[in-house]
Amino acid sequence: MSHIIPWVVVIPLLGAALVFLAGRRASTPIGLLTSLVTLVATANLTWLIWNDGPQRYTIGGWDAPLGINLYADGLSTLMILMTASVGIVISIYARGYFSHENERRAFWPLWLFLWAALNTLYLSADVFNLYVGLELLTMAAVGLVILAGDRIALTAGLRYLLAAVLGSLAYLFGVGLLYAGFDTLDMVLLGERMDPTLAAGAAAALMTIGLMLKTALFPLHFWLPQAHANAPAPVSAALSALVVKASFYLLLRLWFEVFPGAVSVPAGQFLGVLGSIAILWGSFQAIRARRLKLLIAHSTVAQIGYLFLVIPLAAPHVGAEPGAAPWSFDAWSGGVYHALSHSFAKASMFMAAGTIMAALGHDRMRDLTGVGNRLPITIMAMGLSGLSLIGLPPSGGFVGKWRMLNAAIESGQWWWVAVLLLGGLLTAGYIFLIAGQALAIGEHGEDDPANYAPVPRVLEVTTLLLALVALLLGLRAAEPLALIEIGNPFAPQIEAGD
Amino acid sequence: MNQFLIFAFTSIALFCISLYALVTYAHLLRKILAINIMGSSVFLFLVAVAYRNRTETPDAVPHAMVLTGIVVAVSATAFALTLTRRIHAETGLTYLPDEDDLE
Amino acid sequence: MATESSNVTAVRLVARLPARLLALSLSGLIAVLLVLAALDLPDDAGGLTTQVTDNLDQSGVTHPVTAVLLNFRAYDTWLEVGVLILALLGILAVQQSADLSDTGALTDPGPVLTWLSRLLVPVIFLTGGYLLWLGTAAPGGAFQAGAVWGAAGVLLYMSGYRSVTAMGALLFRAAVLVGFGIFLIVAAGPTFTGRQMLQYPLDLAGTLILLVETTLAFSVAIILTSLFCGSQPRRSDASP
Repeated sequence: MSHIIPWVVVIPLLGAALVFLAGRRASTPIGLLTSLVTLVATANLTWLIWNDGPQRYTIGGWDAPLGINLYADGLSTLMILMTASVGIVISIYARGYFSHENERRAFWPLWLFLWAALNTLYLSADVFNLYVGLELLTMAAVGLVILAGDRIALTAGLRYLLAAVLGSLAYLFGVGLLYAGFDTLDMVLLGERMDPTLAAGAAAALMTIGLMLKTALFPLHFWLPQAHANAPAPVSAALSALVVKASFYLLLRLWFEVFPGAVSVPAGQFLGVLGSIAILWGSFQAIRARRLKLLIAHSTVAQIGYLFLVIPLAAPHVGAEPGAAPWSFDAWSGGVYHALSHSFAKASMFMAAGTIMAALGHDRMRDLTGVGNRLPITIMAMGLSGLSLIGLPPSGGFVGKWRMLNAAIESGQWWWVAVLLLGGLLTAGYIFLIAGQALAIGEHGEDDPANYAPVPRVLEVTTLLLALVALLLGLRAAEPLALIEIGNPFAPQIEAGD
Repeated sequence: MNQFLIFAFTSIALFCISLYALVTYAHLLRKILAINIMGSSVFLFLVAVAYRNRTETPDAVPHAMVLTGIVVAVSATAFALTLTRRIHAETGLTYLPDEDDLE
Repeated sequence: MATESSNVTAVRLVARLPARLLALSLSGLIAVLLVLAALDLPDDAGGLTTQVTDNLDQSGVTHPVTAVLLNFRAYDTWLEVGVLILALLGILAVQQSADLSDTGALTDPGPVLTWLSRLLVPVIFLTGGYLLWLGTAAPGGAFQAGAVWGAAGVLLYMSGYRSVTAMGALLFRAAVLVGFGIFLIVAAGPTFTGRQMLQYPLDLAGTLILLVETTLAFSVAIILTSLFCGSQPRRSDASP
């Protein structure tokens, strides 16, 4: 078994420890170096999975059910690759963004721990190990939210912490029920032993609610807008782009690989309804928002709603043979692709908002008139990201939505078609709000250059880079989709490769 | 009613009571206490699962899970308490204010 | 501004009645669901006891819980130390400092506490050490010892002795990290000698576990004391 699998977790942890040990001056160089090495390791892992198919890694030599296994298939590898790609850009952006020494020194260990937690979650095949990983993720994320130290950030951070810990405890109770019912903590064994007992159903409900809290699905999203909007910009990017995806990934794993024998169709439809409300409510709040970062945070709430549509779309006949519905893979891969493109687009948007804040000192929507004249690269990046968020071709967001639309039509679930299309319209609503302000010509001198502090070039370039990737994902979807296919739960193991 | 069920029902009762308290009370210390009791209730459930009406040695894996869970709970509680103290020092409030309260 | 207790809109210490009823019904519903689920569980299953017992002789210790924590599922234990460190990092971020040298002392401890702590702390050290050593054969081990030693640290702090707050910055960070770091080396090391991560060589398993446990107990103690001290207000915040 290839050892690159655990090393993808070890490297960022080692970097985090070294960064904390090294202290002030060496923290940024070590942080950047760790980011780079983690990216290289991730590329190595991707190459391995691309060529050799899904891999299982037995930690300590103790196989499940006694020990903990790691499992790398197409989906987990894609998520790790997404984390690494967005992560390295966030690292570079952070280097240019943090001006206070306290913030910079505190940022790097927390950020590397966050990255390590994400990789842990994507690789683990043990439900209790996932609990530890989720707590690792929460503590790192909350630590990052409160970096700025102002009152709103502290409050938002504490609210996030309480909500996230509540979610973890609900999840842990579910783990206890699963262990009590099936005598194992390994996800593969649980999937094999799954029975539609009441205990299994209760476990599924508890774990789903816990993960809903962490992914901020309506109505458990209350903590997200303030937390994401009041964190420093690179942190907001990491939170919206990466952290919420991890708990969503876990939901996918649990619903389609552990619990298919125990959950019912109405439960899936209920999640879809919540997702639809999230899309409508989040978009509505985004249009109403008076601050740019708050707008983008509400947009995250809405986009997460799309992700939850995957569950009713992909498994309308949950309980039957997986793969029985030919549109299941379309819906599932569409949701994953949507999550992927959203990561790049949303990270780019938050970084752009950070650049604007660094230049202007505020992010009030009302006073952003003519920003595009002074920060053209940044606004272009926002426009490209907006394209992907709305789901217009050619962007990654379009590919994801197209697949989900197809699945909805083929499965005869017309109501989700309406939701998907309406969501796109509403997203266009708040994207055009930003564009309208940014591209306006300031008639009363609102875009006076004297208001704009100079920003490091690197901030603008990194923002554009991520937006371009979101676009590229639409132009060149074949390879990522082929990666997702490896080891997917809807088809027998297919040969990896081109 | 066997031994396992007694402990299981107790843990469920504690879980739900503290869930109610977490949602209902505004004071931050009460919320943190409620989270702690919720955590303890889940640990109680795991301990009950470890020794279900048998005579041999209890199952070690849930015990290890509880030990890990306790460490995690301590970490989260310490962090939450420090944040609470800091918020109190900065705002004088003992509850989580909405954005309007802070302006 | 900050200390208004006479807000025009009185702060509700308890949520409004409709919200309370909703919360009550939800909690009740969850309770009913869980009770039915618990009744549905097999009430005499053994879990993983047989697997643990069968492999106990290869684990390097004789106590099953220690074997699970530090051998079979050591990955979880290693990550949980990371969670502890993250709590400390979070607290340092809240206090916006890199170490605890700026922590204020508690109010005057008085003679009884000072005398008592001088009596108790050596005993606590011994007890913790004993628990650490005991962990291989009976309930005990790294976290138990670390918690007891951490209590000693808190007692020292409350008695007016500066322990972790007086450590030099680099020494402090090294002490916090040593447990995690040694564990990392022990975890990743086997991958260089053809073994899986965290796969101890059979003859060295006991020694490695003891090494990890000792450094871990030390680090956990430092971290726990720091978690307590770190939540105290900073001296530079106190107005003259």
